[in-house]
Amino acid sequence: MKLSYQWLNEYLDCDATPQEIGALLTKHAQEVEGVRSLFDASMITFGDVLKTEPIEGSKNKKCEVLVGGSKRTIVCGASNVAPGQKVIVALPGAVLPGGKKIEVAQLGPVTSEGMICSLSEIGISPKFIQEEGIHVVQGDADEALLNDTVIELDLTPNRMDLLSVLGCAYEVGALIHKKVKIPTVNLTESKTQNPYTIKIETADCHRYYGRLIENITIQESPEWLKLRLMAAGIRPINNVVDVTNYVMIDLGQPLHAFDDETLTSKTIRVRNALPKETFTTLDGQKRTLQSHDIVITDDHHPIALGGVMGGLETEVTAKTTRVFLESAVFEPKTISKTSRRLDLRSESSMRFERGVATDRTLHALDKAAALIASLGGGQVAAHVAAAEQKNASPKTISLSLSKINQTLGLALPETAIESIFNRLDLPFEKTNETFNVHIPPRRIDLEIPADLIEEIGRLYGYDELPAHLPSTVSEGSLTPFQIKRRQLKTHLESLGFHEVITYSLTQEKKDLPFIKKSDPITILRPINEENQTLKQSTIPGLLDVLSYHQARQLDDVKIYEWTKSYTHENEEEYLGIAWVGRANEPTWMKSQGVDFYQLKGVVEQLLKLLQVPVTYQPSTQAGFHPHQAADIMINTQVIGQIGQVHPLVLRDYDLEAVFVAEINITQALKHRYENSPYTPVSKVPFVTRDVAFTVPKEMAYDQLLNAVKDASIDALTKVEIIDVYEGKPLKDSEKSMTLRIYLTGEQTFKSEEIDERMKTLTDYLKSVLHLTQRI
Amino acid sequence: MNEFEAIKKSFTDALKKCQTDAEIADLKAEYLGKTGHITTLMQQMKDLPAEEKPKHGANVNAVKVYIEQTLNTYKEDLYQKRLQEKMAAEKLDVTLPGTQSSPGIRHILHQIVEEIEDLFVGLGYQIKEGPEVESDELNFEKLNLPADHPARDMQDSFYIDEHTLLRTHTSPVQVRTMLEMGGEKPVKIICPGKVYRRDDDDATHSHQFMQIEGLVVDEKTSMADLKGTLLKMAQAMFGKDRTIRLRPSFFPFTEPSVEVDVSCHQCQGKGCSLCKHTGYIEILGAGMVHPNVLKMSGYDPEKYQGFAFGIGVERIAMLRHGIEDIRHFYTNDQRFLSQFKR
Repeated sequence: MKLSYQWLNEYLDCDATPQEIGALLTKHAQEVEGVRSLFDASMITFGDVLKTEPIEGSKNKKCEVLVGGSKRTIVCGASNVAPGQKVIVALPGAVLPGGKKIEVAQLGPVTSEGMICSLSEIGISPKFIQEEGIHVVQGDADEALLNDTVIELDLTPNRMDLLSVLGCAYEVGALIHKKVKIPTVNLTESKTQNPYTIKIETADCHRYYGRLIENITIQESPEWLKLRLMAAGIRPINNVVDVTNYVMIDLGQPLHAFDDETLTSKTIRVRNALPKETFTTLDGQKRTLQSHDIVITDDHHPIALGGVMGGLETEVTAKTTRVFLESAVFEPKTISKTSRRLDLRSESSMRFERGVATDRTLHALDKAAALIASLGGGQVAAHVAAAEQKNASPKTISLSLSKINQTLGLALPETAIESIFNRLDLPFEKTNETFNVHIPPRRIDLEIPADLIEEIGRLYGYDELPAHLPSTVSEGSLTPFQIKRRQLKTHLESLGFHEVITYSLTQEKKDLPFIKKSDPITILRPINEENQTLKQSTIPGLLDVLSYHQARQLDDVKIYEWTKSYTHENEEEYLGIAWVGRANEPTWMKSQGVDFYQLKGVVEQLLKLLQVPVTYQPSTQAGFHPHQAADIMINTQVIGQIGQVHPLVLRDYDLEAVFVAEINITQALKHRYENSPYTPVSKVPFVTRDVAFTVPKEMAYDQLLNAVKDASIDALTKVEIIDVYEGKPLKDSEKSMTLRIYLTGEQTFKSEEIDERMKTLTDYLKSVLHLTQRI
Repeated sequence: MNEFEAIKKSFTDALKKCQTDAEIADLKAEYLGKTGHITTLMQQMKDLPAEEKPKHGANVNAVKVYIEQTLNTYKEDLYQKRLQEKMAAEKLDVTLPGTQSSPGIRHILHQIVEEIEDLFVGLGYQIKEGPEVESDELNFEKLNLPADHPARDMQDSFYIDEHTLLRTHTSPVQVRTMLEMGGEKPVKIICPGKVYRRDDDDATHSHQFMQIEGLVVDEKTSMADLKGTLLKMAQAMFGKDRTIRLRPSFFPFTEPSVEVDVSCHQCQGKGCSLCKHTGYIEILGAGMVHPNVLKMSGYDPEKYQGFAFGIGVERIAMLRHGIEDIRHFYTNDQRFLSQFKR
């Protein structure tokens, strides 16, 4: 809402400056975006062009202009300048938009003492300007009009009452402790009877009033009206349209003027649109209507899309002499639906959508009719054609002093509340400590006690509110899961992995190489191709980040992301890790590239911290190197994967030799084991024996390890693999694996006791696996 | 020179020629071994008259002690000499850099989330999380945004089907928590998490961002409690000298509603380009929980009242660190992320 300070003063005697009012509005009502002069120019005034004469060899004219009682010579290049015009003059010393300074200047043979201005030269946006060239003032105009100030309010959707100057006057009045005065409308009716009758045939039109104005001349509006509209951000058109807009801004009631001669009957029906009914709106667009749209019709044909836009065929033109003027109230939800569907949002639909004050329908109609008659030299016919079907019953809200104080955290006395209601011009009465507040139609945003508490709070001033903490005593803590998540993240970071956050939306095809089965959640209206489905794997996001770095010569990258995987079934917490480049940060020392086992070491540590027991088995997941990838298993359930990403996948990312791991934390935590209870540390030193086996090359370490466990050797406390060897003297089909066996007994073992256990072990291994012991 | 002196001398001469542990061991055996010179001397004792035996014995013993001591000293000297040589060979350029292993860094957005979590845990709050794919009932309906509300335009949210969407705020977690509590117990929670809006990404918009909301519901929770809580948070985020300013605003789920400005940390409220010369920066929206919201989540608005607030994590990070483009958070350039060390 752009609020003209001068217009506001028609309702209030403001003793505060526009800047002071702006600051008060921001603090107590609605945010003010800016307080600025209507014209972005200093030292401008009106002048009368007395005569103009051409300057030889130039398109410019030498003008004699009467400014403030003295004559000045001004050179003007506009073709429309002519004697007898009232114009706007920028005097020497004036500063115009963009810092342009006006000085006395020698232009050819002539000394120019100022500039005759076009509206755009003094800061009016071209969208409000009808004319070419300099601005010619219409009729008499008060010098003060040039000094108006506009307060720009950024309104929240609940404060529709501030979409009018009168509504703002109530608000500002409450802030500066002044009462609003509403000037009476001086309407003289002619002897002609208004021949119209109104029939409302839809529930979505609450009231419809109409007046007939005859014998009017369509012409430009006087200067004051044009400037008021420009201040409000509306483009002047002609006297009739301008008056309807003026009254809409003034009172918040949208109006519409029809050319009476284009209407085929004197009965106006307001009804819902018929199936497939079409209608050409003012903007020349032919619209196909739906049954919830409201149409204003003469006999049969729509003449307006109720509350949204008028029709092309019935609009007021230069030839119009008789006007049927509408002032109506429509159902907000219906107007909202129609204007959204047709993408027709106007000043008028915006006001209807948010709800107009129902006690201003007639006032607005009369004010506009009187003004049209006076500006167009016409007469208003007697009688208001009217129909109404729903009169909102006056609303009363009750609230207690204690609820007010308890909600705000204050201890205000009754008198403080009374004073605020009085300032807001809200009538109330009081019983015991309860206020019964009667809500006027202009404040339909006030619906429940909390709304009134807000009125009290904001007018009292939130700055005055004490600040303390809630008295609720409660236990504050992170959940075990949240603690574990922070622990794992910190652990990964201490190992040099940076946390990243990538977008949850991706493309299904990027996930496919890394998931067993795809069940993507797809967005109905994606913004673009890259953001169609929710991610099911963390890996593509990580690869994107690696790819970004690779393209910038950052080759060694260690990253992780803790995020979710989303399927129709559930959202699960995932941890993804990616590692590319050198294993250690390069210095003068040699550094190897990262390999599978280095990343696996990281993953193994994480899973120990998570306290979940896992095994690894070769993976066949398509996105991985066929021989360097494992599924991370708990029993028979896959809870993660680790490996080198398949070179063909990496090709799409312009990457090479990337190792990644991914753990489904949600699933893994279902298998969490408790820490084992305390056992005393053995006082007896352990003994170790190393034993080497020749095994077939394909044999997995796990097989050997499991067999060792199955052998159930007494006092065997730990097994380590200390060497894996391939090459001579072994055959190509063989490899050697050396185990270190730890034995810890209750007493120190004798050497034969050790030998006996080792023999039992090796015999067992030989019996279940295809291997030979190396001596 | 007597016999004993001769042995000592011959031993000392021989020892000086020893260069290895083996040579020393051989020499030791030659003198102190079972068939060595000392043993031989001791064996001579039985052939001596009784009165000479003690003197002979003492002499032999003295030689033995001498040999042992000399040997040990020589061994130790040799060991130390070798050690010196070995260490000399191990000489390093101590000015060369050490093995590099810099720690990774928590993403700046999560650093801020954790800071706020820690603040509120200290104030007795629980941290609640919830699903990001949410029903419109919990995301909108129960927050006083009925079906025809303009904020529910399909254009503005990522819908998955008619009644499911990516949550547009973390408020549904508040609703879930209130429903869990069954309308009886007080609620004191903050809800951090990812949220989504159907915006085109640019310097100030992101289709995905991170939000933290707070909710307190109890019998006497007041707007003054809200103000005190927000002041604490603003000071924790932007410095202990910060002040806040509450301005009237509108949200469907709170009434009264306020926007909250914090005094500018860059100019201490004097006015600068960051605060657009107003001295204040808008940081969050808040208010008293709308009675309809309480009612729909099972709380009696006559008995209970509450406050709620919501803050954008990216916005805090951008203000605090002067970051100019929201997309940086999701580009994850290590040169960007690694600047925010804790």
